Amino acid sequence: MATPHKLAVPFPRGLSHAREVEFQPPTLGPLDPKKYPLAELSTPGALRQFTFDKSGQSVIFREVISYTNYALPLPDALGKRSGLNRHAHHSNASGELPEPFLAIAAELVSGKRRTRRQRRPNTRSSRGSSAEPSRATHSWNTKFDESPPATPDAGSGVDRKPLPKEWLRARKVAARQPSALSRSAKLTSDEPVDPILPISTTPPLVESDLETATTPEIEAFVRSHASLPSPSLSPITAAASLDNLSEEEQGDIDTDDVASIDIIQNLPKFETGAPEDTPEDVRSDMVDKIPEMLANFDSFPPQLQTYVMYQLLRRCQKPTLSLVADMVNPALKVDFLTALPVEMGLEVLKHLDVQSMCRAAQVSKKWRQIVDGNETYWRERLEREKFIMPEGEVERAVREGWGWQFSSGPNSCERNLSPEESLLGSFKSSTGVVKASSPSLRSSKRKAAPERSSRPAKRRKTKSVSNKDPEEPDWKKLFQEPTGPLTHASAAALAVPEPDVGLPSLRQLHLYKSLYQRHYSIRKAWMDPEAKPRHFAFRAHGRHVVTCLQFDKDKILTGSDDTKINVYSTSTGKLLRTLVGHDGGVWALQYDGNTLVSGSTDRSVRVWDINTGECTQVFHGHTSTVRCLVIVKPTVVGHTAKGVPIMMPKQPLIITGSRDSTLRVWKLPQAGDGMEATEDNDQPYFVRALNGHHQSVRAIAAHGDTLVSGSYDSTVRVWRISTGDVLHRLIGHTQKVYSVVLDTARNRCISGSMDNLVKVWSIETGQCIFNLEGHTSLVGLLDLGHERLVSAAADSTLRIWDPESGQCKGTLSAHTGAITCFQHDAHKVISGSDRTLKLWNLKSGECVKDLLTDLSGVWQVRFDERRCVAAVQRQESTYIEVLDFGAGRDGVPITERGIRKVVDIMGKEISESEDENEMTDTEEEDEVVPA
Amino acid sequence: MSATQKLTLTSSDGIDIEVERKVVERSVLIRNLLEDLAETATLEPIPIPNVNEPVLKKVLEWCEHHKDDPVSMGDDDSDSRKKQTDIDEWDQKYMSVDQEMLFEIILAANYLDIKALLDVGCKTVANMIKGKSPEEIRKTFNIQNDFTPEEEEQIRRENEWAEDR
Repeated sequence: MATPHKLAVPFPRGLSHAREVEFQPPTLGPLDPKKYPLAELSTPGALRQFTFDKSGQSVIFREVISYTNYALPLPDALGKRSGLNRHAHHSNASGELPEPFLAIAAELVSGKRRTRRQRRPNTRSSRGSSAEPSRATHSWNTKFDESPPATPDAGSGVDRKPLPKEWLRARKVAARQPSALSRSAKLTSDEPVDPILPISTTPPLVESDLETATTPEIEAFVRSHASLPSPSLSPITAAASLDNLSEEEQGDIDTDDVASIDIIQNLPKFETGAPEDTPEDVRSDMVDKIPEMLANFDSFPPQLQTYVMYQLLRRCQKPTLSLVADMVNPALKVDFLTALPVEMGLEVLKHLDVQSMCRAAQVSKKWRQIVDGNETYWRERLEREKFIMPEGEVERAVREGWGWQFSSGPNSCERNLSPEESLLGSFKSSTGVVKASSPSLRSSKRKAAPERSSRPAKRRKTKSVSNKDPEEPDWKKLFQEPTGPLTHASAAALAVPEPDVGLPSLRQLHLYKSLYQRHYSIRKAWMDPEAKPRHFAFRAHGRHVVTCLQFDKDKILTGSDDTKINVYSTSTGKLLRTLVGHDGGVWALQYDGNTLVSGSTDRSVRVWDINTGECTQVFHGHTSTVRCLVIVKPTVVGHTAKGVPIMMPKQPLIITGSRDSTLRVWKLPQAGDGMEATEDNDQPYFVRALNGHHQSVRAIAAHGDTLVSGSYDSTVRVWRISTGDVLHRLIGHTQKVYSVVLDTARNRCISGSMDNLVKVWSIETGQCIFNLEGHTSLVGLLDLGHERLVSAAADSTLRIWDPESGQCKGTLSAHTGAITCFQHDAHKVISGSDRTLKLWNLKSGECVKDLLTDLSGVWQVRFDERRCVAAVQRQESTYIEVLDFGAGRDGVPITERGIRKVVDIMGKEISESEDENEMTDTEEEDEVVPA
Repeated sequence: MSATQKLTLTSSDGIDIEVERKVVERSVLIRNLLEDLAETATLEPIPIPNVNEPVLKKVLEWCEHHKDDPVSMGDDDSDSRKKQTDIDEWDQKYMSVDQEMLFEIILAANYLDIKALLDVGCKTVANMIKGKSPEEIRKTFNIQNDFTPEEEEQIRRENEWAEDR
């Protein structure tokens, strides 16, 4: 407790061991507040009384008057000698300026304190007698006029040579005894106090002179303090420099430091006032005083330094103050990111947007290291912005050294820097279509990715099966541990230990920032009208309609009314297999993992193994076309009282809707569960039929235990899947219902109908909440997601709605025919109509570009983060068109992009004429491809 | 053990500060300490060795204003709350201090385990960075640009992708 620096504790008066020093600051005359912004300040409370420690003894400093500009000494102080007790300052010079000192200086200069304390002078002056201010002013004026001649034309007859010393001495006396001075000033009225002093009637100085003159003094002052302690400024040296003063005078100066500061204030007036005719020794004499003054200052305890500095600042003009501010304010700034512990620096960065992060990375080396190396931030960003990282992408990024790379420019991409790649580069180039068509890439490290994905992927699989593979590289072991982004980064450092990228001095790993940049760039490419996606197309299903389409990064599945389901490679377009079995057109399909479910006009539901192409189950029961189907997977629908999650449905289900007006619920067969039909149970997967609709079931949507169906009977029904109960019959549409979606977040469902209306229903009450009006024709399609509902109609427009309020947010109109298919995400809508496939900006409602033109029809369109896959009709033939906006990031050169290339069923590029011949070939080929 | 019970904290520079128990319990560090202490022990001044008097007073000012805020349990800070840089008006005013003090408040909030104050402090710093050019950030925090022109050019190109958003 008893620390030697109990600064802020008010010392009780009269404690025997504490000395008290009272100080009465000299009055400060009417300085122009525009030039001296701090002159009118009254002493801040904390500075009016404080305690410091002197040679083991506590000294209480007390300012006797809190003067205002015009304040007079208080009566009780009149007789007292102002200034500090002589014993109060024979101690070692204090070291550096303490922080609080600088803080107060900065605060004063920046004017914060001023505004805070503005009220005080008013109250004080109103309290004092009205006569006082004028007298005080007068006394100051007298003092002011004491100033030595400031301009050459003043004080003509006086010999100026001995003046400064005399004047200084007189000023010291005057300043030391302000009360006496003001008294004498009162008495002597206009006469000068000291006859030695010349009277100058000229105005002090032109401001510009003062500015330039004041600066060096203060600069020296500040500079010397910035590097304290300085040997030349030690008290001893300073004392020695006072040899031209008598011992008594030395004592005076010693004991009267604060008052003597007044002198400094006036010093420049000599120098600049008469630079030509002021003798050299006079000026050097003044300069000689500086060490003395600084030495005294050095000897003060910090608290007193603060006080003196405060007094100095009050006497400073604006240019001086701004110099102080320029020097002090930066010194008080804190480089938070560097100064804070690392984890707290990361807390700060968490609140930054990506652009600010990228700017922060350019501030300094340290900042770059913290910002770019913040793997957690960049991974969270990817997740927050709903970027989907394809399976295996992080591993690929690690292997290929993406974390070292920074790409810039429109054709930037992630390169493969892996050591094995540079060794085996040309060896591997025999695989893959892109490399074959771009031989220029063969020997360089810039490898196109599509061809890489097949080979390494296979090898990866075998490796992960045998973890103890002795040849497994270290980074992979690290990667396989249950890891976070930092371990991934460590693995990346191991995988590519010596990257040759950029300036060696800037080499730094930033795995997830690179991943973020990649995904961000791909997302941006969609909306860039100039972007050049890799574009290839292939014939499919002859001239038949593609009724359904689903794809992922490996495969594209198409169902057609030609009764077949085709599986294509997403990267090459090669026909992988054809699923044959349905006797009628396929009108509905959905796959989950390796299991495909399809519905057909042949009234059957078939389950397929996609990898083998084998039909594993055939479900009979529907008595007419299976028009729609959905796979329902168990999801958390709530929690028990004990917090255990409730999953519904209990197991994966298939729900099918048919033209026979019923729905059927089936268990989804699991791979290898081999449940066979037996004599007592010829339908082991059948759960139940849902009866109630009077006409064809056209659309279904399901989540958890809730199923919604839309029918040509104009009604929508809400079912409980687990019991088969009808929860609601939603009546309101006057025409066939073509589409339904579930809004699980709001417990609503939405339906689109031939009556041109979109209706929003409450699943809780069965009431219609909104009628979304605007379409002028059949609303055939609905898509809900990313906080937007989009409807597409035969009136050739799409409309964007706020699913919460039902407000129409925009109309997309540029198509010329009925909208046949579309999909949307948070940024865009892609829609197909009679002649074109269009990309829209969801937010602005503008058509960004036509993705495909010159079509005779668009059957289906789907997109993921980087690819758009559409089934279209060109002239008489059906094509699947693939647009890959991420190909550039995989190094596919710009010359290979932006051009439509046709590939054959082997995925090989062919010419237009070959494509013409392909027409017949494909049809034949389709027939012979084994199921 | 009433909430209005007065406790004494001793700052690192040896100053005693009396404060309401409820106020000081915004600090998880002190709350846990009090829970572990016997009733009588709370009559003794509690030393806060890492925080000096001006900062401790400033921190307690925040605790006083927020003493009736619901106590957050654990680290359940949801994404939305964590990421937004909105600061309520009182906190904004509270945080308009010089950088040195802001720095000290953040350190103290971390040491005393006052999550919400730490959060406000970090957001305040983040807001000082947001929307500024690299040079403006350097000025704000008085940071030296220690890149060579060559390095600066590479770094500018590295980050230009984020500029045209």
